[in-house]
Amino acid sequence: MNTQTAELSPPRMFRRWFAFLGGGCAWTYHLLTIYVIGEFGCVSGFDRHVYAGISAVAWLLIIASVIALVPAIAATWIGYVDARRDAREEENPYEEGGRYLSSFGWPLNAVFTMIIFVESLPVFGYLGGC
Amino acid sequence: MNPSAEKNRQRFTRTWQTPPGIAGWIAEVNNRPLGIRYMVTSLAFFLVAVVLAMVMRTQLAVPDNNLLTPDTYNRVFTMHGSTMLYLFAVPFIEGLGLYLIPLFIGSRDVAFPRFTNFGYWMYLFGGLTMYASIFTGQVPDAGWTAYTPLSGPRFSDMGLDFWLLGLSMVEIGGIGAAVEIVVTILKLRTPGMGIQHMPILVWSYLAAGVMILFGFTPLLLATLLLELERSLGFRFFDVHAGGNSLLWQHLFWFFGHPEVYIIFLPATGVLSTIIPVLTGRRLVAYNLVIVAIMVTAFVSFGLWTHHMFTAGLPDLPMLFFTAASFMIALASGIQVFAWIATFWGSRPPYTVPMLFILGFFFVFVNGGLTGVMVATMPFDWQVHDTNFVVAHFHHVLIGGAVFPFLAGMYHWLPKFSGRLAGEKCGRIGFGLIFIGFNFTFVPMYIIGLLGMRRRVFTYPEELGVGTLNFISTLGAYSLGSGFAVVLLGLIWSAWRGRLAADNPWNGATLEWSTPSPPHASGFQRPPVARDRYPLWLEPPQDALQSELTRAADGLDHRPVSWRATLVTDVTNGIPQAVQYLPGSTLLPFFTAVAILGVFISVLLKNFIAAIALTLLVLGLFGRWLTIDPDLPREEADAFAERMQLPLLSSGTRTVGWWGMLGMIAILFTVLAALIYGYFYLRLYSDEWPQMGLPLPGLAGSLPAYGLLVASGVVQFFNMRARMRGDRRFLLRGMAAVVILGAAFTSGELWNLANMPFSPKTNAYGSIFFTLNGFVLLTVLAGVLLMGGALMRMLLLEEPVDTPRLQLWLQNSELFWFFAVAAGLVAFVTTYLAPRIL
Repeated sequence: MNTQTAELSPPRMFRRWFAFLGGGCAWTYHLLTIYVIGEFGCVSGFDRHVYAGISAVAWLLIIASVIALVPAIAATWIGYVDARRDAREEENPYEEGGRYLSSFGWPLNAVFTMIIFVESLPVFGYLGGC
Repeated sequence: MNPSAEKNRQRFTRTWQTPPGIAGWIAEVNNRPLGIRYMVTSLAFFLVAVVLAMVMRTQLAVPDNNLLTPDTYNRVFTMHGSTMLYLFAVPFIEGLGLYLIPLFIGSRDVAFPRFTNFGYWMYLFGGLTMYASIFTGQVPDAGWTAYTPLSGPRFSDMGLDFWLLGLSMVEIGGIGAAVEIVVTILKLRTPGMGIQHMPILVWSYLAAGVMILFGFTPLLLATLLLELERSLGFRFFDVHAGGNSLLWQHLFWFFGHPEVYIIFLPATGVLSTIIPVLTGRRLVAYNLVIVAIMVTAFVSFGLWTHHMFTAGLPDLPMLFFTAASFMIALASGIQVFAWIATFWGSRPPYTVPMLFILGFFFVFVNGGLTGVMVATMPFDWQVHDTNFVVAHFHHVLIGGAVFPFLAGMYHWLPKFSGRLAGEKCGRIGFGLIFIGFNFTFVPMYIIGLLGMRRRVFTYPEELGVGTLNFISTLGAYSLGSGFAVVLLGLIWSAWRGRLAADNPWNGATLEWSTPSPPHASGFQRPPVARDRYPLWLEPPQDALQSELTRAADGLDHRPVSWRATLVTDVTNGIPQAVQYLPGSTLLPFFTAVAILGVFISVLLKNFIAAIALTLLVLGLFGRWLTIDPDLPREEADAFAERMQLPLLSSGTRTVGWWGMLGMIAILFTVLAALIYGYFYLRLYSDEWPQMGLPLPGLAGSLPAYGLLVASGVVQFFNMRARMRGDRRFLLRGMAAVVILGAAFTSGELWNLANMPFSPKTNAYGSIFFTLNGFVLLTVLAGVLLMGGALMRMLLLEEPVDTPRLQLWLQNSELFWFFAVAAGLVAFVTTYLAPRIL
């Protein structure tokens, strides 16, 4: 049984799965973080601290959103690059599933990137405080 | 066929058959009979809930009605909602999944057959516990959401304890079934079924299964916390002792919103399966539909606070949830348009499933649009807690789930029973349901906008909603009658309907390649599947096909004296190993009975009996874990030679390893929810610790946690010793871990016993003890696991690389690393954070 060809090296397997799930994981981090910063920051009065006209809570939310966008965009890009490389290479039926992770993953991650961006927008209506 | 081969086939058939008699029925582990059992039980609960709904609507038919007292009405709507959401919707989905998923993926059974049996009994006992409250005259009355303080000890009677404990049992069964489904889909797919070839139904169940793991666990924790408050005087939610009622709402809705998508996603999978069969075409935009499923699965966890828009939380964080709520509507829209595109230009037959699908489009889209409305804060502030919301969620749940599932019942009845469902009865039933539904719930939008609140037992005539309520009640009678007609029709058809062919609809997926109903083993020879629609396409004839066919042929009516299925890799569906599957046993049933005993003891406040029965439960679980596969040596060797695959393996090639990963995911979620609860209570307290309590001392805790960290370091070296097969080092190292773990447990117990406060002092005390108690229990469980592995090594004297031992060691390792990490997080949270933040 030719199982070896189905078992990619760990770094390559990680890259494929990151290209598939990276956006979703980035979104999860983003939503939970902005919720915690939002409720905990606003209730504790942390928004009273203002820097360059923007409250500390708003700054944290912006930073958290930028941090979330990085892996989401990276997962989209890696998936796209890998999908294009796979399209140029000869088909390997033993690795079809892995290729699918990349070719399917990048549109999925693009959607998550868009969602992260949209969910970040409300902060711009509350830059001065909660 | 030669006599020897025929004899083997008969032995193979016998191996998969259920043992006879009542004991055999109780001990059943095959997924299909248990799936049927889940579905039948859930439909029975469904009918009870429908009757309760009729009673409610009769009370609301006219203004100022006094058919029911306010108290009775509260109990009726509580049981209606609880039954529909906890005892019907998810168990039905799980039953359908347990039946269909192995057939869809070409597996002979699910990953943990004994756990399927256990899960069913837990579900049944949990549901019966909830309803047993009737015999005490104290039926639960706090709604299916059981908000505190209404559900707390001050305002609710014993009925809530029945509710909490019954629900906990149902949740345990549900979470177990989810682990089954996820691991089965990831590891037991038939040769060739890579991730790109998984049918949409399988994707939807995979998503729902993972969602259950992370979504149900907070509710399980919340119900246990509330029961601790009610039975033992903890103060998590008691505002007079520093607790916070909103903490319950957060924990509840973190479950509650994903719950509705857990119900919805498999229903969409059903539609995505039936529509191609009706149209004779492949589903349009398969990839986009999976995008929609994945987006829904993730984003559904980011909506929960939209149920709390009127709770007084700050506007800014609420807006994030509004944005997320809008985004998830896009995902649902993608699926709807994919289905419409699949239908476009085709001429599907207007059979009963088609009627229910059309009904789904009308009702669900209506409900989805009103969902976007209530996701907008200012609008929600007006309609929250009115009948508008009741109308919305019935549209999305009945339209989005019940209609597709009824379509599915008609579609798959031939597979379940070998008989076709009667069309006439189905059409009559559909007509009654569709007309009844719209007359029941469309007026409710108007009633709600006119100001009638929900969960009120009557309303004054001056409100001017009497006529609309009357129409709604008539609609409800039609709806209830329709459900009765449909279900009775299905029962009749299953018993006396026309005999069905194996594939009466020319379906494309693997379940239609089996007889109707399937053999006890499901697949006597696993199929090879290299397409999303394997029955519609001939596979390519290449080297991979030959290899996969060889693996499948190896399992053709084999093995004959034990149960087995193939394990394939997660991504590409390439065979990796043969998985032994246990046969029928009464152990799961006795374990469920013992757990029921624990919960009844808690209900009766007999905590000594509860502790004794808990020890029995641990013993029974330990017995499960220590039963080794009993493979006849000669047959096993010949089989392994033929298959060229390991029969017993370890690591990621076994379902056991993945099951441990699932267990850790559950425990991680509990830990995360407890940490969240700690900081949430901290956030809304003026001082921390509350009420001037002293900070917990480090003098006792530092040494104890130091021992725990040391055990983690030792375990790291144990892991390396396992990898190189160093038995001597392992024995000493594992003994050291057991000793260090036991020492930590004793030390921290002594610490907690000497704290200047107790769990009943205030909310701070409650969360402090609960969080540290969770760590103690986790470490104790780790000590037992590690001790068990050590005993095995000492008693059996197996080489370290024996697969079964390796699996034990790997699983114990994983668990121990989690326990140490959990301990560190709890230590930082409870001992260090109050000193810094």
